[in-house]
Amino acid sequence: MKGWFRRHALRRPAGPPESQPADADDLPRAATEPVVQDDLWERCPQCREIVYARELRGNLQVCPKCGHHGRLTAPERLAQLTDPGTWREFDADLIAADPIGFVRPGRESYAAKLDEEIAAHRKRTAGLLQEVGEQEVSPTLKITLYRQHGAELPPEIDGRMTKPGAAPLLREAAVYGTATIDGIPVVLAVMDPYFFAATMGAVVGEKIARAAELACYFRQPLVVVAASGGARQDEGIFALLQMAKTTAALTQLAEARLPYLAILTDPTLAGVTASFASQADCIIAEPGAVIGFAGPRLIEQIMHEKLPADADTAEFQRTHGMVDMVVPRGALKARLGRVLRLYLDARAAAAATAGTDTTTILANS
Amino acid sequence: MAITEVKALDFEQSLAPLAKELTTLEKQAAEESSPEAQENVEGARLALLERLEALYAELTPWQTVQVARHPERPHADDLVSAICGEFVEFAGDRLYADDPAIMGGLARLDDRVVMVLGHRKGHDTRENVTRNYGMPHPEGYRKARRLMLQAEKFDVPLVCLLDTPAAQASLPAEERGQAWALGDNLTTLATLQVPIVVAVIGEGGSGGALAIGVGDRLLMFEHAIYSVASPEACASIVWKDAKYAPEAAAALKLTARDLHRLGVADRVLKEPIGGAHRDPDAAAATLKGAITDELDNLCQLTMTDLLSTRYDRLRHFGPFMEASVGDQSVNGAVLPR
Repeated sequence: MKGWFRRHALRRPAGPPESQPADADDLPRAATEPVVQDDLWERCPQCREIVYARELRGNLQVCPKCGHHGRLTAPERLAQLTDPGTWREFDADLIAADPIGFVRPGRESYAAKLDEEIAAHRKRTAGLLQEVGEQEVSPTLKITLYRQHGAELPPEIDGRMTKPGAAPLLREAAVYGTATIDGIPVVLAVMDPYFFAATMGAVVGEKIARAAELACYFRQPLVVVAASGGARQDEGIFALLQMAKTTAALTQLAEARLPYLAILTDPTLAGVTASFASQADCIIAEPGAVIGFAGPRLIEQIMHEKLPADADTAEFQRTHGMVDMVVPRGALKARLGRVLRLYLDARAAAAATAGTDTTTILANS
Repeated sequence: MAITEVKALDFEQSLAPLAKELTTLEKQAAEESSPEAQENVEGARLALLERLEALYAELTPWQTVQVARHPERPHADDLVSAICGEFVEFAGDRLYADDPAIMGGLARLDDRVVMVLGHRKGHDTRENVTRNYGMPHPEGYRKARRLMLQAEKFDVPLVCLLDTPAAQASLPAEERGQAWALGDNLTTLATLQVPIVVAVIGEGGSGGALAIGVGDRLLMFEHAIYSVASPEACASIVWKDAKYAPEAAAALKLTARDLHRLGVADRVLKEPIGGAHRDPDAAAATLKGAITDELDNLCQLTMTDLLSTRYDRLRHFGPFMEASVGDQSVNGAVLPR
């Protein structure tokens, strides 16, 4: 009994103030593995109380005793935010190349490291994937299909694609697709803080850029749930250039005057904050999340000084005017719905005045 | 500047005897001023240059990092005064402060007026402390953005000279929204309606470099470096120890030659034998020629062509695989063999 407590107490992610460094290559594995079994107890890293794991999951990984927000995998996040059965993943077949032939310590290849990450993700989300069904890599929905066939895909093509609601099996740190949130159709991209520390390489950058393009195509709002340790070192300069790629793609969304909402979760750092995550019309942060550029751990290391406990937290960024609101996870979906409706109604009113067709924008809202 | 007057780097120690000999011969020649003594000096000079050239042709990535960081390497302010007939510096972000780590202003490049932005490293310790070793704070990026928008307003091309180890990692930088300032610059540069020529003149370090580094053409000095993180930072992330910086430098493919091969750098600018610091004027002349050349070409384009070419360039950064397309180079980028 005792050993079992100790084993599982180690498994929850350590939230602030013990945050992750910018560009964290891999988070301490033992401390960040979520527990998948039903019948276990866990110790909250913040209040140190013992919590029934099933209760924690039912409460979206928020500690019922102290409100500490644990990290969510991308499939968990999708289950939390999207209306049941509405999520459809796009471009599930994008896989990282090894663009600079990066050689890791011990001569490990980037490809081998990626395989490890994919296997770890599969293990981590096994329970959920069984529940809602696993998604195949290919065939996968693509914007080109819609460009060929129009907004309604022929049933024989649509039927071959991922079934609505299926949880993604991650091959990268981000997924994107379409869903409804509180009844509102959106394009949604979600990053997974457990997968390769949610670092951004060419595939993550491409998915964010394509999500922006898909939102333009469907004339729907874009919602991005960001989490990242920073740039994927293994892709060298190309990882850095994803910052330019994603922000460039977002200028098209701004040009089309479509709303872009970003939800910054623990941790959102470095190249991701300094590119698409900071460029949203409305920025929502989760309580206690580490959000910033360098992150407290790196700053303490470089500057040799102890930072205040709240440095680079969601609340700190709210105080300094960098985010619009800090919203607890349980209230997030409803808040998203409210903000989205206001933006869409504003757009509809403007369009009505201009006498243009608003039906696509208002569909289902 | 004489080739022996600069601080020798570790890997140049093998040349010390030759350099010493040259200095001695030069002294002798100064005293004797005979044609024979002059000839000896020339001979020793040529021998040293030959060895330098051979050494610099085979620099390891880590040695290149050291050259890029050489304290006597010409910095943005040196190059601007060498290539611009006139330069008027502007200060401040109109929000918080002026950042001495980033310089910006209007300059004359032959008969053209351009807006110049550049990271500013110091030439000595005191200057480096004032300029924070060329590591900008958020106000630096915001000043740069103010001047980018001014370039657009007055329809003058933008020239950006990159030379920074990285963005500043500190609490004040976080309090003033460093990430937000960086992101705003990337957004602004993506659609700025003037030609943008970017040149990495020394260290192109991470987001701090990219914040004034998004443009239509990317030039790199032969011994400049450009990377996602400094080799030390990459080593502490991946190797968990900054002492593996030489290994990280090799793994990152951060040299101009590698980045040209990868399709990131459009043009590599040849440096004088033994690096730009051994003949800053020659290096400046090369830079001026290349910038003028690129601006001549970019200024021919219509605004629509300029912006759509830039968008395509940014949008297609970074190779990846797409299973259903079965093509590794869907986006046209070159994969290393």
